[in-house]
Amino acid sequence: MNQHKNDIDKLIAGWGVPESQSQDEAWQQLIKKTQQQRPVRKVNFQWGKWAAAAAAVLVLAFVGLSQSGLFAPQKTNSNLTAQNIWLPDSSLVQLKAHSSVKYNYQLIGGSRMIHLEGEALFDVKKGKPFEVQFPGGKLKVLGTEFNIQAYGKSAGRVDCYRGAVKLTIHNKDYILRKGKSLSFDEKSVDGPFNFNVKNKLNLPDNTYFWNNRPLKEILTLICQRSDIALEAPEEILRKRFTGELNLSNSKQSVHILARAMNLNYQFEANKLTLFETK
Amino acid sequence: MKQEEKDSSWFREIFNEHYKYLRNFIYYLSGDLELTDDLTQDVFLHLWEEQEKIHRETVKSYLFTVAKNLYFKHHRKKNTHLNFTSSLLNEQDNESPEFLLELKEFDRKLQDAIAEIPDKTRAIFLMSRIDNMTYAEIAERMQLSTKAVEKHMSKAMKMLQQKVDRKL
Repeated sequence: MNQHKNDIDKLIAGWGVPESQSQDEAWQQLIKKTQQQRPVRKVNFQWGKWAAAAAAVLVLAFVGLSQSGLFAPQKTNSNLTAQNIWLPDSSLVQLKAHSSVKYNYQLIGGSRMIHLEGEALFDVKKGKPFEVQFPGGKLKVLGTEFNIQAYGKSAGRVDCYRGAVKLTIHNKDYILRKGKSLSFDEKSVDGPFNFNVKNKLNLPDNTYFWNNRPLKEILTLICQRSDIALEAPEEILRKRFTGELNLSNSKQSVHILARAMNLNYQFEANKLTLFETK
Repeated sequence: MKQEEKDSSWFREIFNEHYKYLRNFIYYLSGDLELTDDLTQDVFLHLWEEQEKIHRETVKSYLFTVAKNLYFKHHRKKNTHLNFTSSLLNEQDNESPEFLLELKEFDRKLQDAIAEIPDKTRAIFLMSRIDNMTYAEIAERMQLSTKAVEKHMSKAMKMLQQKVDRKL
């Protein structure tokens, strides 16, 4: 047994780790590496500082971006029928044809910032300030239910159904109470005038109701809803219309309107031209 | 830190003195020749980068500790396979081929048996038997007490005996 053990010891003592490169070669390789390694270490040394700076930039960027609303959620309705959208605070936005809405809740203060392009009816839950920006102006909610038409700066209209809203258009403030409307274009503001709250514009089947309103407002709305251009002389646009019109089919509604107002019209590719009948 | 400020003659000295033993040690742990060469380089690179920070009198244990940590943290093998060269086998020119074959076979079995011993115990055992280090020398490199080294040794021998008895 002891003999056996000695044999084992002798055998083990004769073992050697297999050779690969010589010690000199290993040294040369090592020296090469020490010269490559240095710049990396330098960066490592300042890693903490850079990381802190990067983190600060990220936080600032995050706060900045969330305040700016650049990445706010956006909803778009490209159909002719209205689309209901529930905001996170359970306010309801009924988005009309070819309209889009962006919403962004500010981290500081918690204001609800809405960006509207097109037409929408808002039913706002009570809570933090609710502000809507649209082409041509902005609006602060004091009450709860209102409709905004603002496809572009050229023409728009705000109706208040319940409570009151504070409007800012062309740097002028207006307070709209229940049953009041206000329409505007690039230069001028019309109103506030009364409208019948019971004739809730266009609900729910695209039927709109106007009481002695200029054709410009109506035609602009029709054209913007279906994304077509409008061309008509000023005197036609100034004419006033009272009545009900279903806007589900824009061609049909133009036809009805033209008949009622005794006008001629012509549809070309994405363009509507109106003229007086001779 | 500029290159000139680093003490390359001291570094060279340390390298010459410890390269072989460090390389052996890593091989005892891993049984992987390629990994052994890479890891040995890495350990010396660590020393090069941190030479201002370490105490020169403890550089020996520094090298072995870095090697041990690097191996156990990143490269630990599940199954070690040792493949030592044997000087004893090469010396036996005058023996019969049968005996040589038998010896070779036994050598293989012995290596396999040792490979089954836990890494650290095996490394300590082989440092003692192949590199002829005293227990005190091993203890210094491994940052252990001499007593602990003794324990590892007796554990290794006990395991080896069992395994060799079972295999032969």
